[in-house]
Amino acid sequence: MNYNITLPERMILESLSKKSKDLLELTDCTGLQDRIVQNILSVLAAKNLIATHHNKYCISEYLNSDMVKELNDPENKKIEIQYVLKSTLDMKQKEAFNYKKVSMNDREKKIFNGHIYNLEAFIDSLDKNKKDEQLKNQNIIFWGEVNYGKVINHMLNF
Amino acid sequence: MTTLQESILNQYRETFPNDKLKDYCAKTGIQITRIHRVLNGAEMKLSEFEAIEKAIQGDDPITEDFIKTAFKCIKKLNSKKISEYKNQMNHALKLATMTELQVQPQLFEMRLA
Repeated sequence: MNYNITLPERMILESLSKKSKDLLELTDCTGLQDRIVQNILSVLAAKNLIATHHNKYCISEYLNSDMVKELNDPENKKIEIQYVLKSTLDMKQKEAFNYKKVSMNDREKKIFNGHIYNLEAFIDSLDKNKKDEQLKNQNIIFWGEVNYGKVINHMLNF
Repeated sequence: MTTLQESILNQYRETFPNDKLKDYCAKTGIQITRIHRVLNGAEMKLSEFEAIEKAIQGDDPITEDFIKTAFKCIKKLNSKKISEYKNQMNHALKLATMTELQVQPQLFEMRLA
């Protein structure tokens, strides 16, 4: 089955994977409006991804590794990332997303790769420290670099 | 009735599910007796097809442009790219539905753990 899961649905599943929650707790954790959370819950229930236990919602016990693999389908995740990027750009906050086209010699590339390595180490350390943070308060961080010529050629290969 | 005729009539019914014959007539300009015959299997004329299609699309030039662009994409792009755009559109539809639909909590089934 192709779940074609959206980011809001993924957010709810992520919230429930940490702890069973009722509607109010889910709304509080995600920052989504309660009617949207209700709509998402009905969709997830129809897909047998969630269940209820003691008046709280939880991840369905029938969610197995094959289903998780389908939920993480790379093509679908690509669409989700595109939506995150587009929404970020639409928000027009300068600190949200920046990019620049530059030329780097070998020494400068090494310095740059060093910065990226340190950044990734820092990000990895953050993940281990905070497990109970409300999802709505988390931050999505973008990083990476790509060769200008390669990306344009890749675009044209379609 | 041809597949294309059936398809356009189904699209009309989905767009305007509560329309009566007089509403069809008002929106398309097709005479009421002719509408009745077409709905009951009489072969549709091209002009009638176009009138029903226009009624479905409305007067919004953006909608017309979108449909024209979609047809151009189907002709020009490879199947992988078309599938990609289709998935993006389905995603957008799902997000739109999420914000529109009002669900009563007791109406959806929940499996007891």
